[in-house]
Amino acid sequence: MVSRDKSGASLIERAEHLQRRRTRIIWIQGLLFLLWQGSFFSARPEFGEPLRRVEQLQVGAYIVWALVLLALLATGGGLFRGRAVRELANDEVTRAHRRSAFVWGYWGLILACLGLYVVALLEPLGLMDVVHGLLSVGLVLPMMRFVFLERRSERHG
Amino acid sequence: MADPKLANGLKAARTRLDLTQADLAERVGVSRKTINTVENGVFTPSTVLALRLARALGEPVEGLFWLED
Repeated sequence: MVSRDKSGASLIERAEHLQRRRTRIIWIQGLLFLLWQGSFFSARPEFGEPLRRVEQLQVGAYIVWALVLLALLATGGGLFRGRAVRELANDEVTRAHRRSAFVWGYWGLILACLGLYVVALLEPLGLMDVVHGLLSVGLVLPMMRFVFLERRSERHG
Repeated sequence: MADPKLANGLKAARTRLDLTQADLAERVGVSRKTINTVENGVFTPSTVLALRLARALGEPVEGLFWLED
């Protein structure tokens, strides 16, 4: 017997709705997060100068945004959808996709570290720029990998 | 030596019982995407999932999954 909610949607339909919505959100948020890096690097203060109030707020917002995205990627979201829906939306295939996404993030971080090493030979880098760059790669790359894998598996339906 | 490919007869067993992917997903407790990807050989299921699929379809697990030489 298929269990259905008030709207007539079964547990699986609700979980699949959550999966599609989550993939869409991660895709859009990942792109926005990436685009926002342009404004950070173009408007940041000169190397060694203290941050102004507005820049401190900007960095604070960036950290909060990064934490929210990381939580979404790591937990799969859907906190208010009920445990059964959440478990279905994070079933074996999704968990495998998440693991693969984090592995890509690891390799992306290592390659970004190597790249920054080379850049640091040519010009001085501020700690803020380095951390910002690494955090962005370590977050956006797994998000995009997760979206790619989820969409590919949906296409096989 | 290359790993042998895992083949499966999931779709045949499912259609024999006149089940849709959604029906099987409901029986096993996974999303339809998981059934899709296992049927198409895109995803290699864990031992636990393979056993749950076999139980849901009333087949021995080695009748559902085998290694291609």
